[in-house]
Amino acid sequence: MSTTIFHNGSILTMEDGDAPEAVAIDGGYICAVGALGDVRAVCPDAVEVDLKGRALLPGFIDAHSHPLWAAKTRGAPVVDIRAETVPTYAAIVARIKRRVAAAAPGEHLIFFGLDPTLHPDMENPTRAFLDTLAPDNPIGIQTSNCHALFLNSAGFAACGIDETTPTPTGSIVERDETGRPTGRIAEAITWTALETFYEAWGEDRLAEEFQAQIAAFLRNGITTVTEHLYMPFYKASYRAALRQGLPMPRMAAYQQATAPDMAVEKIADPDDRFWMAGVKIHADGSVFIGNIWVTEPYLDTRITRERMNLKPGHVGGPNYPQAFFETMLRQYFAQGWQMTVHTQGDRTIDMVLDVLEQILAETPRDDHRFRLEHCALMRADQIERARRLGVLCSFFINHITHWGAPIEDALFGPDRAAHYMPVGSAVAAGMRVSLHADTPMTDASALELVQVATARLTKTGRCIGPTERIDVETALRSVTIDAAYQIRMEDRLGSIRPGKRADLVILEDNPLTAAPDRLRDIPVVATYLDGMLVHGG
Amino acid sequence: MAADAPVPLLSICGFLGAGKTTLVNRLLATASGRRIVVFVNDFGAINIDLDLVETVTEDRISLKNGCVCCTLNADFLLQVKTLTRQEAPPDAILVEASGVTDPVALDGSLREVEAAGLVTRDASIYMIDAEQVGALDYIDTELLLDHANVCELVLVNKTDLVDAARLTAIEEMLAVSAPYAHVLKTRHADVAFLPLLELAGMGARGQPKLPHRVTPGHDFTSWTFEAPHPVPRERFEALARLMSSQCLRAKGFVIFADAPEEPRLFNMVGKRATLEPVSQSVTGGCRLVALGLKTRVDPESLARVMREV
Repeated sequence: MSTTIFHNGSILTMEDGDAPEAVAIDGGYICAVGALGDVRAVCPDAVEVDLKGRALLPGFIDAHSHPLWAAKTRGAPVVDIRAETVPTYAAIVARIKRRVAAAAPGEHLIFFGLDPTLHPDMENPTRAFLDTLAPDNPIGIQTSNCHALFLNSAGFAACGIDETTPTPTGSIVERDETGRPTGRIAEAITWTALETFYEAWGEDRLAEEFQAQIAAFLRNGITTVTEHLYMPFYKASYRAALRQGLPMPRMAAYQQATAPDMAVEKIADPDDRFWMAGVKIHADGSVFIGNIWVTEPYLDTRITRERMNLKPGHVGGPNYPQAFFETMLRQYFAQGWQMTVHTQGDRTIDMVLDVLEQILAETPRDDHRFRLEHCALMRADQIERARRLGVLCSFFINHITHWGAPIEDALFGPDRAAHYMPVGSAVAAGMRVSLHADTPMTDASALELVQVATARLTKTGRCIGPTERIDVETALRSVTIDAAYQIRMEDRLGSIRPGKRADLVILEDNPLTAAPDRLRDIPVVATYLDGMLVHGG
Repeated sequence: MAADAPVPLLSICGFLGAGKTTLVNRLLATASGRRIVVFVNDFGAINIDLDLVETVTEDRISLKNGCVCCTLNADFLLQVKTLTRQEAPPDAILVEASGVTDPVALDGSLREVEAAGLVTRDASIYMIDAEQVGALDYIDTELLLDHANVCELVLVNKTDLVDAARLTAIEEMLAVSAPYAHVLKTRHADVAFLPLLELAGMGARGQPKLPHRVTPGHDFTSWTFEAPHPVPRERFEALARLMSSQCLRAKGFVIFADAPEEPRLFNMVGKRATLEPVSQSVTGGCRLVALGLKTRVDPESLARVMREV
């Protein structure tokens, strides 16, 4: 690999100091940053890349994503029924009928994207109804938030869930009075049930879709991702991709814990391509199915009552009984892992911070970088408390674009919407935040995250929570160096500095000077991973 | 200033044989003094009366009526730049995508052109060959419906080649699976296209100036709405919601009662609507021109909501 010098553009290093004129990379590392003459002097035989006025940034880091899971969840033959593709529930039913009519006998079918807030005529499909649509094929309808699944009888049979199956702690199986599942399951049992379908589709399909997913990350300039629901059998896919020399973004795995006695795999990699970074626990569930824990109830609206089946005054609850959650957290924290905890509701966040504060009082640990994930309804006092405890937030900011309007109108009202995903407050409190797309829930794009965090506009142009907006520079840090900090890789990734990994992205325009409402449309001209050109040219 | 304002850009998608080229030919022949630039995939299929042709180069045919026909290639962005920056920019740009083009993907690349500030996205049109639909397999049927779902105006073309029962089945399928699309039946792409272009061009360049009404032709219906005083915001939003389900396009000025000093330009294309600040002084309360398909618009319900505004 020859030395390469980039020059004649805007170089955003994400480090302090003036923008340099040139950057040189060699052997997968950044070797020189500075004035063009100086860089040329230390790299005399370098190939030069003329940026022609474009912008050079460190490769983007998505602090909370699920690349392999995205391949399973969204890739073919999964049928896309998200509201942006199939706008109504009536249209979904018609699509299911056409798909079933074209199915091979016994073929496993999954439909992804049912959405109580975005499908205006949405109904909860019962097992009986799905049996009329598909008497012979196992079918499952997954909600767009990924947390819930509706199955027909053949689907339940294929997944081995019946009246005798106990409901695992932390999961939901809706049943009739005899204990027979009535269609809807939610949380961890959903993801194990879906594996039955993915397995039926075979390894080749998975490899192909995984390749498409990692290519999508690279196309968007994302050179480091996290697999935030890692399960041990995922390893084979990453190893295979690396063995085949596929350009796979660096992968920080956070193993999913659903019980206190799980063995966390120790995966280390001198090349920083794939490693075990920590342990993830779902303390609560999805804002859009109502299994989060909040102090102030959900609004009582047609959407919450009829489509989400919530009773007036609904405040939800945590996924696991508090004691069970505490046992898990103590166990993996004591093993020294970085913890990332899925929390949406403010009462859940209280619960998590209470437990953490107690653990830290008993066994103080510096630099634990304990993370809260998503943080939809985090309160101002909790942000202050989190900062004091050294807790970091990673915000699922794309909720604003996709679901901002129903969040304000149908779920929580204007006061809570004004501080929904309170990124601005966290930044003001001095926290190093990260932003994420939570792919497969929304599509991977760091520039989109930046735009949403700086504008907080819904798809129809409504601003949700103007005081929680952040400036473009901070937003860029949250998808580069601050995201690197959140995955404990700030000494190797996330900025342009000699000695760091040569992960770079070239953008057509400089996001700091581009039109603020067009950031997501800035073309990603080229992506370099470990010094190799992996997208564009 | 005038020349810098973005030019409206319309797109036509559809499977091979749906009738896109016929539509383009019809459009070029009936431009009525509007200078339209059409980007097409295949020059060979464009059938232009030689008497109308002014000049022909490898990738461009210029017509005497001011219209230009270009090939759609990798230089698209560059060509649009040149066209829109010339002294007299075109009134509208029309992109006819090839049969395999996914309108969602096309939308992505057109957004790039829009991001450059050269054009403003206007109506997207999708053409369906009524005879072909029934013969499509599952995958192509779903593809067609996905496409129809992201376009505002769906033309079910070649209706003369299918019987009434078949046509009803197509209409029912679209009503259920692409419920927000405005569907128009045509035989030989014989849509009186002009009103759509008139409204697209309205206020696009220079100071926004609204004609009293557009020429509706036989497929469309058009009307104006005026309110003498600033209007309550929620009433206007109710009207906008109704218009977005019934009309293809609406445009005009509105002054809200809660912000009388800040007149806005309302611009609705299909389900997309924007409210932008306007710099010039606007008097009165609200003045809109709207356009919809005769088959889709319910004048009574619109009139009722308008009276409430």
